[in-house]
This record gives sequence, structure tokens and C-alpha cells, in this order.
Amino acid sequence: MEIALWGILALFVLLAIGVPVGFSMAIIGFFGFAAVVDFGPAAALAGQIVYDNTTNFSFSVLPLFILMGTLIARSRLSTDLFNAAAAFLGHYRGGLAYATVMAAGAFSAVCGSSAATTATMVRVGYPAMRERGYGDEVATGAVAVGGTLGILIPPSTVMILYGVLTETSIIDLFAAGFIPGAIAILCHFAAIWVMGRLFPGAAISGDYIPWRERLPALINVWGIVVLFVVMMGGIYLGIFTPTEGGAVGAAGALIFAVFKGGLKFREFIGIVQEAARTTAMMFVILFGAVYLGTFLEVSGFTSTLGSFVVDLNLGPTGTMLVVFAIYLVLGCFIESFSMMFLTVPLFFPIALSMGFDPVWFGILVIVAIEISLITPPIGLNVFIMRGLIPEVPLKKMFIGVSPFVISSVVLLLLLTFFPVLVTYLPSLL
Amino acid sequence: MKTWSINAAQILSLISVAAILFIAIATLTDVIGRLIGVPLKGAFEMVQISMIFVIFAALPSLTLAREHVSVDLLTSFVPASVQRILLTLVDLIGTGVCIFYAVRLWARGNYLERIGEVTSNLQVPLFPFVFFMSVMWAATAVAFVMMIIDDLRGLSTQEETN
Repeated sequence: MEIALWGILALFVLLAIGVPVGFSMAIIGFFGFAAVVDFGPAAALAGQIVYDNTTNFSFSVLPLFILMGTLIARSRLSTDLFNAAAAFLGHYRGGLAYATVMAAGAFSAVCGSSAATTATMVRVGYPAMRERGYGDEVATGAVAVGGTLGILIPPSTVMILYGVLTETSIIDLFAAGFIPGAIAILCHFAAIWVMGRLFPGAAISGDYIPWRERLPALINVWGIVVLFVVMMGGIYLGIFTPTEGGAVGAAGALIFAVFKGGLKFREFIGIVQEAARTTAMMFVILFGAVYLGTFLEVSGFTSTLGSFVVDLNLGPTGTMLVVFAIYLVLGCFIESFSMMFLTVPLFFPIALSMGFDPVWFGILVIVAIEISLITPPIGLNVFIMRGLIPEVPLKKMFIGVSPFVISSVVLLLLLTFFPVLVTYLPSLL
Repeated sequence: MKTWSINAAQILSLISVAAILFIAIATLTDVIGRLIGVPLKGAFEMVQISMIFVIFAALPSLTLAREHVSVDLLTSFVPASVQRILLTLVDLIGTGVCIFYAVRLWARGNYLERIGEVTSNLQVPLFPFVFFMSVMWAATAVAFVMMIIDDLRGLSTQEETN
């Protein structure tokens, strides 16, 4: 147990000097395991972890959904989505911020990654709001929180990872994400409404767009609808598995990228290379997290933490609130994928022992991870925006996301106290 | 030296591209084949093995692009000269981890060869693919060494300008 605490401390030192997250976890995993057991088995573990996880068939769904997201981002469908949402919402105060969140939500239905959703919406939503004279805080906040919807609204790479790690049905997880996704959009709308009241100068209203212009804008997004219906419909009707749905989705996205986005062959190769690098990046973290997780388990840390949480005697809901509070704190310092890999093995058994639904727990973990994507100091979505619009100071961005941190916590609480919001759709399957 | 390694990594990552496209095509063929009653034999295993190429052939270019996820929390607060030293240290640690993985996977490959592990349906021996993983980790270690050479050059030019 004491070794585990030293290990965690050493992990933070490695992370702080800038050692890649996956490598830091592997180093601590190796030396920690060696300290508890021996160097021989600790070394042998490396080959086994890398080999087993690479050849785990369930993970093959990842590169296809990642590829689909990168292709969709290139297809200009996002501009159509934003224009359609703006036609309906633009005339309200803060209308383009609503439209950004709405378009991000719709985009998430064909893209499973928060990073891709954020990068896409910053190119579409931010310039439009900037041009209208919105404050940078509101504009970047809406983009960052819109990006978080990428992993909550199915398909979702994080749901896939959770499903594989816990052997929970990916199909159930996908179904469970819809209602929370819709509620998330409403919660963020409320945050924008409040911001519009408090800072009228920062959130402006546009011109009213008549219905004869709205309808064509709406019809323009048929591509997204077709892609979504074919992919998800195929998965839910049992015509194909989620992996196969990913392949179908990627093929559809390619068609749109070529015909709508004018994608050229060279650029296409570049996009596939990018998808491969993203996949490799996730696996490096996965290997490290499994290594570290194995050490934490043999050191007795996992079980000690489990009994500590149970001994608090807070009842099921209270315990879960403590677990989610831990997530929110960890989320400020640990990158989202690493947090998923690290914490799920720790907390999933606790949730199960208290009789919680694995699908419900998964969705709440994802909402907690979403919050980690926008909280300082290392909110990933904020840093993605920072890379694309370096002229906006980081401080403004973090001020801009703060109301949405609150709306996301409200979402987390709603789903905690009303689990039926999560479990209803999967129960119909 | 750096351009040479970037080009080499780019060429390697084309293996990943081919593997991803292969997964997509094999999967689509299997779906369509199943609908018309002739599923693709061994699609499952082909996808499984392709994943090895997707991940490991992309490692060197991922590394040279400095796209490994890291937390640049503390590093952004220290002076540029300290940052450069830390970067060199981090790249040294990266080299070590990659060599370690390369050695361990080579051992794993040897073990799988000895026990004669094959895929369940097509009976393809698995050890050559594990050797490939090992070689790619070694290539990634080389990528880190290239970056260290670059880091050190940066350090020395910085001293000259000071």
C-alpha cells in the first residue's frame, strides 16, 4: 500500500517534467510491480500487456470510428449543420452560441471524438461569432463545451473503450448516450442564456431568418442524417456489429469528403495517417495504464481504495457522488483517456458491488470525463482551441468555459439522481 | 539527419494506412458477403493482425511529430533553457522505454514461436507479427535518439547565442 502511494507520487513527478503519459505509467507500473513481486515477472508483463491488448479484437473498432471522424471533419458537413442551426436559433440573444452547441451535438452523432468535434467547431462556430462581435469568452466556451458532446452522443470512442474494458455491451452504451446528450445540450443552452443576461454585450442576437430560408438550410444537412441512420440503424437492427458500423460509417464519410469537400487522394492518405497516429497514441496510453493498473492491484491499493470508499457508509448514491467528485478532481490533472483507463478498473467493481447498472456507471464516467476536457489547468478541448486560435488568451477561454463546467455538473447530478434517463433507451433494446 | 528520419517514418506510416484501409475493406466485404450468404473466411483474424500494423507502424511518426500525450503543466513555467534540458531528459527516458518494449516483445515473439501459437481459423503463426512490434519499438527508439541529437544541437546553438 505504501509502495503504491510512492508510485503515484513518482508518477506525478514524471508527468510534471513532461514524460508522455503512457510512458510514465509504464515506468511506474514496471518498477512498482518489481518492488512488490520481482523484476523478472515485471519485465515479462510488458510483452504480455502489449501483445494481449493489440490483438484484442474488440479494439479494432477504434481506428474505423477515428477515421470516420477525421473524414467527416474534412467534409464541410459541419458548416451546413452550423448554418442550419443558426437559421433557427441565430435571432435569440447568444443565438450563434446556441447554434454552435446544437451543431456540435448533431456533428457528434457522426463523430465519436471530442477532439475532432472541438477542432471542427472552432473553425466553423468561432469565426461566425467573432464576426458578429461576440465576446471571446462566450465564443470559445460554446465551442469547447460543444466539443465535449463528441464522446457523449453516440458513436463515441470513449464508450467503446469503456465497453471493452468492462465487457459492457457497446450497443447498450451507444443507446444510453442519446437522452443524456439531449439533456446536456439543454443544460448548456441554459448556461448560455444566463451568460446572455449577465453580459449582454458579449452575446448578441442576429437577424430573424424567415421559414423560406430556414427550410433549405435544414434540408442541406440530409447527408448527416443519412449517414447516421444507416450506421446506427444497421447496428440496432443487428445487420452489423459496431466494428462493421464503423467501417460503413467511414466509407460513407469518405464519399461525403470526396463529393462535398473535394477531398484529393494525397490529402486522403494524410487523413488516414492521422487516424493511425491517433490510434497508436491511444494504445501507448492503454499499455501504460494496464501496466500501472496491474501494479496498483498487486500492491493492494485497488482493494484498499475500494474498502475505504465502502467504509464511508454513504449509501449507494452517496458513494457514487464521492466517486464522481474524485473524477472531477483527477480530471483537472490527468488527460481524459488515461483517466478512463486508470480509474475504471478501480471504481467499476465498487459500482457493481453496490448494484449499479454498468451502462449507467459508464455514461456517468463519460460525463465526468467530459468535464475534465474543459477544466483548467489541462482541459484538452481548451488546448485544442488554443492551437487553432492562438490569438485568444488561455485565460479568456477558461473564463468562457466556467459556466459550462457548472451546467455539466448539473447534468451529472441529474443523471445520478434520475438513472432512468440513462437506462430507459437500452431497456427497450 | 532529422529530414531523413521523418521521411523514413512517413514511409513506415504508409503501412498503417494500408492496414486501416484493409480493415475497412475486409469488414465491408464481410458485411456484404454475409448479406448475400458468402461471408469472408477469416475476416476476424485478418482484422486482428492488421491492428498490429495500424498501431506499430505509426509509432515512429507519432513520436517524431511529438504527438504523444503529455502534461505540459510545469514545463511551461520554467525558463526556456531549463525547458530544453527537460526535453532532452524526456527524450532519453522515451528512448529507454522503447528499447525496453522492443526487448520484451522480441522475447514474447520467441516464446510464441516456441509454443507454436497460431490463429484459430487460418492457422497463421503469430510470432512474426510480434517480432514486427519489437522492430517498430526499436525504430521508435531511433526516432527518440534523432530528437535527442536535435535537442542537443539546440542546446549548443543556444549557448553560442548567449
